[in-house]
Amino acid sequence: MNRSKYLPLTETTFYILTALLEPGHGYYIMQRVEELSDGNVRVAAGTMYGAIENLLKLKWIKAVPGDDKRRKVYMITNQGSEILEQETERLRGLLKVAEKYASG
Amino acid sequence: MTKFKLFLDVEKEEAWLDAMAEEGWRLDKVIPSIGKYTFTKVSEGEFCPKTRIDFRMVPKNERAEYIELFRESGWENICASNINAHYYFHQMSEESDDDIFSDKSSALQRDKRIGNICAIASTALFVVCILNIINIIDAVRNGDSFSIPMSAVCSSVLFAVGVVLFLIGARYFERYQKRVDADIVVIEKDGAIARDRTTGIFTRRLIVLMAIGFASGVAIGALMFLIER
Repeated sequence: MNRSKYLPLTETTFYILTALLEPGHGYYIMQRVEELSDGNVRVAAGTMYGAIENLLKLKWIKAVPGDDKRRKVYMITNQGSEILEQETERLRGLLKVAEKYASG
Repeated sequence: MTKFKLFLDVEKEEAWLDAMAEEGWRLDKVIPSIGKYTFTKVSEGEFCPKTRIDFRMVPKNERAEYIELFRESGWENICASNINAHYYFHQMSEESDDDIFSDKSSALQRDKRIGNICAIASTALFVVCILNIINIIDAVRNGDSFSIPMSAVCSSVLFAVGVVLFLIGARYFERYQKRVDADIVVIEKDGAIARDRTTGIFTRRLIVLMAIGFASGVAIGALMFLIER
């Protein structure tokens, strides 16, 4: 199997990409991640800004053209969706092993 | 209350500001380049915000977005120093997050960014220094004794500042590397979990390169001095 060198994703990255399946700005992503993780994962502002910078560089997310410069809206790209799918596949594999051998 | 204090280590600066906040001193204003801090005493039982310092080169057209992101998540910007890339934030309320970084790797990255900025700045100073020295050699050749002392003073000052910045940057790199090595910290590089090996080699190489640069600068200076004799 030709696995991407970017896998596995960190929890933060996984949640941010998932949040950006719907377009949203930085603070929206932070709220959405908290919601998606049932309050278990909170991304702080400095970490969030760095993550956006990083994911833009990787072209996994893109800025959606808009007027509000203070609240730029981002969205996942095809490349990002692909990575997310691969990661989900990897997690499924782990889950299968866990269910078969690890759980009680 | 106004206090003057210079810090070489951003973590010690935050720790000092935390201690001040604990005693009820709220930081209102700061001028990082001269180390001037202005505090106000909050009244008994009133919330005293923590201060956190981010350090990054934010492009001008992204600055509003950057500051807005912090504001929305409960951190008010109290000082944005574009010259040395310091951004001071303090908590807007008790509900604000406890820190501006939520994972270890992004907190560590700050050290690397400071190191990088120091490295770039000291290299730039060093280049100006070399140009100045070439200028002095020229002046010596042409017997233009007027500009020599001036250039020499400029060169040594720039050189001294360059060395200090270089040492500060090297210390940050060293700490970053040590923490990465010691902890097997999971570094978020390109969004994936990986041990950050390349940076270590890169920064070490950069430090060696810069050391060679400084050494050759000194050598050229010494040579010039001999020629003058």
